Formats: sequence, structure tokens, C-alpha cells
Amino acid sequence: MSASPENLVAIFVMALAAMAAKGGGFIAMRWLGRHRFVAAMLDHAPGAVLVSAAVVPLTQAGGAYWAGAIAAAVLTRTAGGFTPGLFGAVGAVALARWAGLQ
Amino acid sequence: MILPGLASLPFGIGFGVAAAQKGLSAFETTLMSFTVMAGTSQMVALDIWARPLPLVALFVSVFVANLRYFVMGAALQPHLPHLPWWQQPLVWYVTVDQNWAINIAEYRRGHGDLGRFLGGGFIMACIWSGSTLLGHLAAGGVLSDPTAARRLGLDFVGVAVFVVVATILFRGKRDLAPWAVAIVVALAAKWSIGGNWYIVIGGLAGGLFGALRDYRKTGEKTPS
Repeated sequence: MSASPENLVAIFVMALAAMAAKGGGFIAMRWLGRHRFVAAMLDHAPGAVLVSAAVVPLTQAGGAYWAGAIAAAVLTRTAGGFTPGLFGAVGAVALARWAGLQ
Repeated sequence: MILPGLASLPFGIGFGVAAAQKGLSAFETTLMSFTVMAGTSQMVALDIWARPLPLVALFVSVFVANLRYFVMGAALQPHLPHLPWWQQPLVWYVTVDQNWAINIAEYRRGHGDLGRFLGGGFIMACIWSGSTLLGHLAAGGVLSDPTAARRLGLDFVGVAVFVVVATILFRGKRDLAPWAVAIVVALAAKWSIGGNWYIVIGGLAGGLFGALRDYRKTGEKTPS
């Protein structure tokens, strides 16, 4: 178990930066959250963040990812929830790759 | 949270291998993963890791690479308005992509649970740190080959979580236009800027569009 003091300081600085980014929005909302426009924006932000995060990998990857995304959406709606959607999506990607899709 | 945690396995192993090649010890690699717990920014930091260590550049690059969490934290705060000050850093720590996505959906449906949020985040931190340690120990060995995880579809778990949670959060017609705006702006941001700014920019654009549209519908004045 070896560690250099210089590396430990750098790791501490990195952890501080990550916490500053994560906590910054949370703290700022104590004041910004009183504004109705900000509250309305944050009502829409989670869904917008999620589709933004999903769409770029989907457009960059091949058909297997699309098969997985369709399976995820359909199974979440029909089988009712997170677990069947997630397992179905992963299974669909594995099957699609086995069938030759990338 | 175990399956979403396993999504980080191939990336974690890859990061462990890269950290070993940069000269970090197994302890330093694991400590970094457990305390920073943000894979992309750790990878960015490794890129600029040199002697003497550029501390300011490390701080700025990790902060900027994690700016999407700023938006996620802001969206989370209204659900935890009276959280004691000493619990807040714990919530910030466990605010990572999949854990946030799952729990923001629960809070919105009125089923949010702080214990589950913190516990899920801790499990993800253990899996992430463990996978980077595994990669470090196996650097150059069979575990550094990500094709096995890819064959099993595990590289898709991260994206699958976003799709599943978006499907759960979908409220019908009122979400269509803001989400379409978010998608178009995210793709444009990825194409024009690169990196992972597209999550922040697309999320803000979709949120802004939705808020402006709601204000117009209710006939209220938009803030100047």
C-alpha cells in the first residue's frame, strides 16, 4: 500500500472539485428555487437531461444499442418498472450482438 | 443498484489499467475512485497527470467535466429542502448519473427515500472503486480486455438506465416538445463542442424551453 504525498494532495484537490460541482447546484437552489421560473425550468430539466444523456451514445453506436433502447422503453411501459426494463435492454443488446449487429 | 453499478465495471477496469500505466499505485487508484467517484473526470485528470502535478488544472478540469452534476443537484434540491447541513455533503457525494436518475424518478412519484439514495450511491462507489482496483491489479492481463463485457451487453447498462428512467418520467404530450429541443440541442452541442457538455447544454435547453412555454400558456410575464 504505497502513496506519495504529492499524489494524495492531487487526489484531494480532485475530490474537492467533484464535490464543488455536485454541491454547487444543490446550494444555489436554496436561493434560485424561490423563483417560479427556475422551479418551472427544473420541472422539465430531469427529463431533458436524461434524453440528452441517452441520445448521443445511441446515435454514435450501432443497431444493437437501438434494439436495447426500444426493449428498455417497451418493457418499462408494459412490464411496469425499472428492473424488467433494464434487464430486458441488456439482454436485447447481447442478443442483437449475437445476431451480428454492432 | 448492483446492476447499474456493474455498468461501470468495464470503464472502471479500463481506468485502473490507465492509472497503472501513469504510475499510480493500487491504493492511490482506489482512493481516487472512491473519493472523486466520477469516471469521466478521472480519465480527463489522468490525461494531464504529469510531474510536477498541475493542481489548478486538475481542479478546473475535474470541476468542468462534472458540471452536469450541477444541474442534477439543482433538480434534486427541491425534493430535499430541509436536509440537515451535515447530510448535504453525503447527498452531493452520491449524486452520480444512474443513482440520481433512479432516485429523482422516485422523488417525483412521491416514493423518494434518502436511505435508499445514500445506500445505492455507496454500493455504486464500492463497485466503481473495486473495478478500478481490479483493472490496476490486472493491468495488461485478461481483465483489461473489455470485449467480454461488451458481448454480454454490459456496456449498454449506463445508457439503458437513462432510457428506462426517461420512460418512467414521461408525462405524455407536455414533455414531447421540451425533450425534442433537448435532443436536437444535445446533438448539436456534441457535434460542435465535443466532450460531454451535451448533457448540460441539452438539459438546460429542454428545461428552458419547457419553462418558457409553460409561462406563455399561463399568460404570465417571463422574467427579463
